[in-house]
Amino acid sequence: MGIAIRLITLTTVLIMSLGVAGCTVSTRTVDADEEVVYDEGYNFSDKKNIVAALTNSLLTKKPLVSASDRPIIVVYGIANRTNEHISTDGISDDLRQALLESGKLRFINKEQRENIAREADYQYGSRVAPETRIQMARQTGAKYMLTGTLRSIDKEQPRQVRLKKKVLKYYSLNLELTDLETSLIEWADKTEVIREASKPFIGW
Amino acid sequence: MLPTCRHSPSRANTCNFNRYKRSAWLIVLLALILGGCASAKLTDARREFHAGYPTRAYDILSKVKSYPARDKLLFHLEMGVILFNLGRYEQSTAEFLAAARLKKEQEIISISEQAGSLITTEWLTEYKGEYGERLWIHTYLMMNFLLQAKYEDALVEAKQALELYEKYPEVLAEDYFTRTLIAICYELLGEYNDAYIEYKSLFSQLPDKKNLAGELYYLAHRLGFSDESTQYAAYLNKEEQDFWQNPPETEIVIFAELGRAPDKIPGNIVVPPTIRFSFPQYRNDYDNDYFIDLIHPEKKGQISKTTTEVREVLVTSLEARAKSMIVKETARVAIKEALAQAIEENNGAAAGALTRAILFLSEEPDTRGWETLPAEFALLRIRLHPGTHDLVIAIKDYYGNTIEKIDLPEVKLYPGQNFFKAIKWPEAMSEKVEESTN
Repeated sequence: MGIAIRLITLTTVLIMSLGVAGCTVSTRTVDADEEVVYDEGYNFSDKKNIVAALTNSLLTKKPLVSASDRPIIVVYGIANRTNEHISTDGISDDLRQALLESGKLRFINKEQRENIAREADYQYGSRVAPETRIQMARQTGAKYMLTGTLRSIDKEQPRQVRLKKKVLKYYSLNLELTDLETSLIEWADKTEVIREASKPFIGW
Repeated sequence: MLPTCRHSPSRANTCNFNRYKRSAWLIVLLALILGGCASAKLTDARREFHAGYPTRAYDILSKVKSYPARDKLLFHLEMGVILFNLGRYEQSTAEFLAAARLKKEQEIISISEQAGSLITTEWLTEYKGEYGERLWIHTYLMMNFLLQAKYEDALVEAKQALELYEKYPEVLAEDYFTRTLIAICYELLGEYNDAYIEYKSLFSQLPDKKNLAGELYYLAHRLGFSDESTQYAAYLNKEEQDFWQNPPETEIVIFAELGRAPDKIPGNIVVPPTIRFSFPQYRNDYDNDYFIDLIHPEKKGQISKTTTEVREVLVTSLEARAKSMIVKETARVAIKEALAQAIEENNGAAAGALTRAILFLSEEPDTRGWETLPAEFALLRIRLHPGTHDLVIAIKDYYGNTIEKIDLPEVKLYPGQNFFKAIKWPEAMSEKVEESTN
């Protein structure tokens, strides 16, 4: 009986120690270039890779590779057609940033249109010196429109007796550059991410 | 000083008996605490909600600092519905998204939890929701997103709901409401072919096909499936066909939660003298057969209605789990009986009888469930031309008698606009009185 009690006490202490150790908070700063993947889902490393691949394609292919006049582009949102709540604004922001850094393109600030109009109205009120006012009707029209769609396909192993199941996730981002005058798609490309994850059915 | 068990062999039997008695009472106490007290706040909140006081229900649940692990899903579900009915769609969305995440985490079966429940009660396990309840997490999310005009997010939920339809096709087949919502989500984002597929799948299952014939006729035309459109034309008269060939692209969609879903009650089979098989079942002694109709404006043939009888889906969901429940229940009864026999052999008939009695009492079926669900989800779609519209909705009983008329606030529809509105019946009438007096 004594041995049994000692064993139980020892086991309890061991479990509690493990529990306390498990509850300890630990943090580390992750480098932006480091690839961190926890599961099969979309993550920030994917966004980085997608943006890099498509920026390179857009800048090295026609029509932009031969453009010398820094054409003006308006970026419309990337439609999310996956089965996850993914903020695709992040992808379009990063794309615009990377393309701007190339110095070969200029962008319309579509997101700030309302604020620009509000500011213009303010300037034409009574508080701003006339000589410092912006000129009205001088905004620049875009030559191209950049649009895209993010899609995903999921595949799961069928139900059967096993301890783990495999999940396959496929993402593709299609981008299109449309000439606003002709409505012609002048460039289109896509990039894909395919990831497989193995998930346990049983846990402690 | 009393002699201890260790140092007094003459008292060994009595001490052993007392030890088992103490352990047994601890088990009972544990079962009672786990089964009852932890969900007291949930019970209070549900009572207030059903009495027509969603604000009070919200106040009760919002005071719970962290949701208990076993009932965490239920807390999110009940809170989600309460917030939905308070019109706080963003907060409701957060609760349902948390429920959806939890649902994914719960896919991993916990060995310790299952082992514990095998010798005690199912109440010890984390509540995972019936199949129908798991689907309705996405249903509420779709409604929440549509009401907030976040159509892309609504489509994400539609796709997750579809995954469940594929996983449990027979169980969820009668949830026509959710399937219609999925089709609407596709349609709103211009994915007409996907919407058409969903409508077609729904059409094959719907008892009253005329309700959906107009939408299908319109989409078949739009997609150029002229051969298929004739199939749906058969359900429409000439006037209706003319209307659905080019319907207005503006519409009002009403989501209605009608009545109250049945709760689970315990069912028992007792094998004398002390073996008890227990199982949950849905109450069926309730009258919740209502439907909604549009009184004004008169748009016969230009509206579509879809209703899901929540009880039907819940009962089918529970039946689908029946096999695994029977296996586990049989194992539990066998283990408990073996335990009682072992105690009887070592400590005498009295200890055995007491253990059996305690184990008999602890054999309590898990009757937990999502209790703020309505008895019916009903969807009413009205295609209208842009302009200002006054709508009057009727709640009717099984025989078609109008029980109540609901005047909706005036709606101004702009070209191409979709207007979504959620209603609940019975309304939280007492809530309005409470608010006006504050």
